[in-house]
Amino acid sequence: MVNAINISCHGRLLLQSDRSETILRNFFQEYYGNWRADQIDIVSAREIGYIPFFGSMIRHRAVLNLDSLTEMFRRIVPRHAYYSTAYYSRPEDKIMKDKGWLGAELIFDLDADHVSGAEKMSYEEILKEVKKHTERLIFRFLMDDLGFQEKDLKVFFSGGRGYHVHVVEDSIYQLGSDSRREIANYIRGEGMNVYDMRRSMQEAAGLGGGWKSEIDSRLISYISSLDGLEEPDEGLVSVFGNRRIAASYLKGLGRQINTNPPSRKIELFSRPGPLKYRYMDKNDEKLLEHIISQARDELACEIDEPVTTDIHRLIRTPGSLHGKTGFVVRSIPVNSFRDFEPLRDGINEGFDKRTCRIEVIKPVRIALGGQQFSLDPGEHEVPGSAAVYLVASRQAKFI
Amino acid sequence: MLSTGKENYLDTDPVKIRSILTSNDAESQKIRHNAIQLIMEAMQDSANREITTVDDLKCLPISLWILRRFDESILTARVINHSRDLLEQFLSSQKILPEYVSDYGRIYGVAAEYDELRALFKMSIGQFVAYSSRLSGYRYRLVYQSVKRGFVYCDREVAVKIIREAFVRRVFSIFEKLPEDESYTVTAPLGDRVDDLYETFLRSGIKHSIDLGDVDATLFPPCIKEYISQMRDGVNLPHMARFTLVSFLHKVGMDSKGIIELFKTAPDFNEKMTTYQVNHVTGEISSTEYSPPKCSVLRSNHLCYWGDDPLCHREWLRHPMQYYTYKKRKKSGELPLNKLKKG
Repeated sequence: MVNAINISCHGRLLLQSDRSETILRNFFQEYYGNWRADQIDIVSAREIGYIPFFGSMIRHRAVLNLDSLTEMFRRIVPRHAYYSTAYYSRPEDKIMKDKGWLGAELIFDLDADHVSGAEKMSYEEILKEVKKHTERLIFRFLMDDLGFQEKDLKVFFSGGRGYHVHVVEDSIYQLGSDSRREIANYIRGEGMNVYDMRRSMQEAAGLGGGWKSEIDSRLISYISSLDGLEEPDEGLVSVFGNRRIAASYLKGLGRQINTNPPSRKIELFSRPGPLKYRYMDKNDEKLLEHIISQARDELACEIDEPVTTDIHRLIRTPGSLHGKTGFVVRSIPVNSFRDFEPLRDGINEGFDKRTCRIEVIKPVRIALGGQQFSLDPGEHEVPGSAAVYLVASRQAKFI
Repeated sequence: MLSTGKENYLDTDPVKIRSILTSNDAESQKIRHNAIQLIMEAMQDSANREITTVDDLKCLPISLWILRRFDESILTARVINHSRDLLEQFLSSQKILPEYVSDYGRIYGVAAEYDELRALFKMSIGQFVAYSSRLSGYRYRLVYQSVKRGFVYCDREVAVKIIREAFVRRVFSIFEKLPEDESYTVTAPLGDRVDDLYETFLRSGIKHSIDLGDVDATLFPPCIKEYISQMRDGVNLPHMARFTLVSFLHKVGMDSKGIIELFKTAPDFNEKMTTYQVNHVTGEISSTEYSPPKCSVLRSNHLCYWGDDPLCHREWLRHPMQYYTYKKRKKSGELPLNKLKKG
């Protein structure tokens, strides 16, 4: 049954004196007037939530179908709109355990919070960096390793500082939090250490695919690159933190090892296979530790783990507007992800039918919709989409 | 040749069960005998028996009906774990060829395939993570698996562990659906033997209450509380959870004897082994007095139960002992350590 929609925020809206917020809401209203809910399967089994322009988060709503959701958001005009990644038999129930959990999509949230050095980056740089992680997540981890197909993935620009990837495939709906954490740990390269890696490498399961084969091939290529060196290079010195140890390690690579038949250490360590891990000493372990950490830094995806493991999560509604940017939570076909430009493709061009006068609070340098903006504090006239972005992100006010 | 395991050994249909319980043929008599025997073994901790064919587990549905009648979670968990161990032992043994191991997997819901060329088992990642999360140790973590195009390639030991976890989950879910009121009529043909069995259970001391002595359990972090509560419910705790529990209780001042007593409620309790392990962790027979793992280690092993506990979510809280110390100081009116001025 559809719950009565809480529209108490409308009453408060009339009392609001913030003109800028009211104009911003008008833009959102105009957007939702032409918006249609899409991309959510079995919407009647989802919990719906939203944050209105004036008021706090409202949750535990339910709708009959996509038309009802469209109608709801047209009336409400949410500043932020959400739906549950879980399916419930009673999505409107306020007590989580009484909702009747039936399953949930597997979700990956990638944003700037998990990218190292993000605090020193511009918004555009953040978006570029997060896109790299998302690309790796989709193509390397989800498709190559975990075997999901394009049809199993739904990718969205979050409208803010990153992307959401939803896996919608039969085998994942029933997975509990712990199982999802296992997948999240795999994607983050979490939980690897030298001791277990060494033991694991020697086991019968072989080295085909996954982190183990990546680390094995990196180790082989690193050791091979040392062949013929007379003196340790800076890379090797930094692994051991000491030139003398690095030089002695390099020298030791030329020694014979007691394998059957005996072989030079560098030959054994340049060959694929588990045998070399049996003959590792403390310094080899130090090198292995360096290789593991390097592989993790270069390949792991900085996903927000609590989002992936939460089987009751609310996530942004596809096609809705992000309340802090006014950008669209845009669906991106997997095969065109690489071409997606958030600050070009994420804006709602409909806002550009008019220009707006705004007062910029602090200097702004950003390229939006193919246009470069370089605005100093003070009054400016800009296209609607830029005005919406600057006001929603609190960098400007409508005049 | 050995059975390929095409038969469903988990059929608890009351009509079929009653027919086995009332029939006089040798096969039915054997199954009846095994059903009682299985429960006795679980109670007496005589896990030394080996099963030579999975037919020996045909008795499990009858045992489940008896257990439903008893409604003693600790005993149910013990019997299911005992059956699990028998199955694991059987699937790991040379009595069964590796290609048949996957047939058993299918019975319990794991679609594993044996790759003869590489001598490895192949199963979907979805199934692997569904069942591996209850297993502790690096061998069962996805980051240490060979992963390719949606499949995990693992050796027999790992595959068997996954199958046994699927078995446990399947058996528990079957058990939970058995109606208690029907259990009396279904098991009635067994007559006094069921009552005698229950008497034996009551005398066995398995049904132990958990006594923490002078230690104040209200100060424990949610993970430790959860382990204790799971043990009380007869859940078989993973190795790391036991280690954490023992080292934690030792650190907060409980003596080894008290800790061993606590483990008597564990469904797979073995006094000799528990004593050895507890004394090892507490440093009585080893050179190291172990500390509980850090929160991050517990989290990556699926053993963190922080939920909404605000203290667990504090940035500085990295270890279960920090939680206990903080709460203890707060309770005694002392300033928490993080509020004390340095120097």
